[in-house]
Parts: sequence; C-alpha cells; structure tokens
Amino acid sequence: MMDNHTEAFREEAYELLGDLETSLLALEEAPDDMELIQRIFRDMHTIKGSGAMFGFDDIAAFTHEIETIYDKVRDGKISVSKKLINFTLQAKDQIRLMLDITPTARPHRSPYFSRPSRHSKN
Amino acid sequence: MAKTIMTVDDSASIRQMVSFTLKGAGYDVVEATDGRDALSKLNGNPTHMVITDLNMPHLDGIGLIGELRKKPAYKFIPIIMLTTESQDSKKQEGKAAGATGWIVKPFKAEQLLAVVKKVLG
Repeated sequence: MMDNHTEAFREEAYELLGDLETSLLALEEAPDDMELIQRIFRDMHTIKGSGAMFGFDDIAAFTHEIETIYDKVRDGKISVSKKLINFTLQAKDQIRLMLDITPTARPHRSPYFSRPSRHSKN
Repeated sequence: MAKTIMTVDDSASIRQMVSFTLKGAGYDVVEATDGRDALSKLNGNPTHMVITDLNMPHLDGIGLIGELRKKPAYKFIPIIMLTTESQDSKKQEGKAAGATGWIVKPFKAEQLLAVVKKVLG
C-alpha cells in the first residue's frame, strides 16, 4: 500500500522540480521578488519533508542543505546572485537524477511516465 | 456516525497518505491544499479534528490555526500540526496560536493513528 504513496511522491517531486526551475529562471530577472523566494523555499521544503516520509532519505538530506540556504535568503542573510541561481539549478538537476535512480517500489510495473496503453498488462 | 477529520497539506503525497490511513481506520476525511482552501471547505461544516501542515501557500498552518480559533464552531476542536525537525520554533508559535499538539515528519501511519485515537478518544 505504501507503494502508491511512493509513486505519488515521485510524481509530485517531478512537478515541484519543474516549478522550481520556472521560479529560479524568474528569480534571475527579479532577484528581490520575495514571493518567488518563498515559493522556491516551499518547493524545497516539500521535497524534503515528503521525501523523508516516503523513504527518499538521500533526497531529503540533500534538499535540506539547499533549503537551509534559501532560509537565509528569506531572512536577507544571503543575497540572490547569478552564482546562487546557477548553483540551485544544478542542485535541482541533482535531485532529479536522485529521483530517476531511486528504484520504484514495484519495478515490474510501468513507471508513471509510461503511457498506460503500452505495457498495461505485464 | 464516522468522525470527520480534515487534512491540510500542500503536498499531494502527504494528503494521500494521511487520507488513506484515516479512511482505513473508519474516519471520514476532507482534504485541503492550504489554509485558505481549508477555511473555505470547513465553512461551518461539522469537523472533529484538523491535521495541518505548517509551510503552505496563501495561508500557512499557523495562520489557519489562528483563524479557526476565532470561530465558535472550531474554537475547541483538536488541531494537530505536522512539523519537521528543523521547525522547532514553529512548534511554539503553533502552540501559541492554539494548536493541540504536533507530529514530527517523517511519521508512520501507525503513529498518526495513535495520535488521532488519543485525541478523539
């Protein structure tokens, strides 16, 4: 039964990473936009918190580090720079890679991104 | 009649897990995606308990708790917040706003049920 939740998390995390990319690119144009910074923080916070819930411990630990940096950005202790944005985009790619390589709970099933019609009976 | 619990979380996977666990134990569950959504779905409807995340868009968990405590219908219902280890100061803020207690993420289904049973009796 937990398998369904694991896959729900995986799907959610891919969506959040997409959202994160959009927000980071927008932040590059508007580095003082607090709403964007909050959104980036929240995306990280959800990936971390929900990842830990469903056994993605490495992703949770890695994302926690990035979240901590954005907590400081929120508090005005670190300012937004091109370097920070590039670093975060790289971190986002790393999280995606970690999601890609974390085995599905039921590997004999098609991953969510396959078209159901292709291997619907296996 | 089954008791109704509202789960408030912007994370779809957490909502799914909480909802699945509680429904499995015989509770009715209403899902909300953030504090604003929770307020509009509650809207005076009888609810026995609220389980809310803290960090959410539009209206966060602390804000939601504060709003609920202002309403006669929800002034005394149990509200449990879901926190992460790194949110220690938020626990105190939540308590001050009127939270009944908290569960630290990550948690297991059994832990959630134990808290719900303890709170709802």
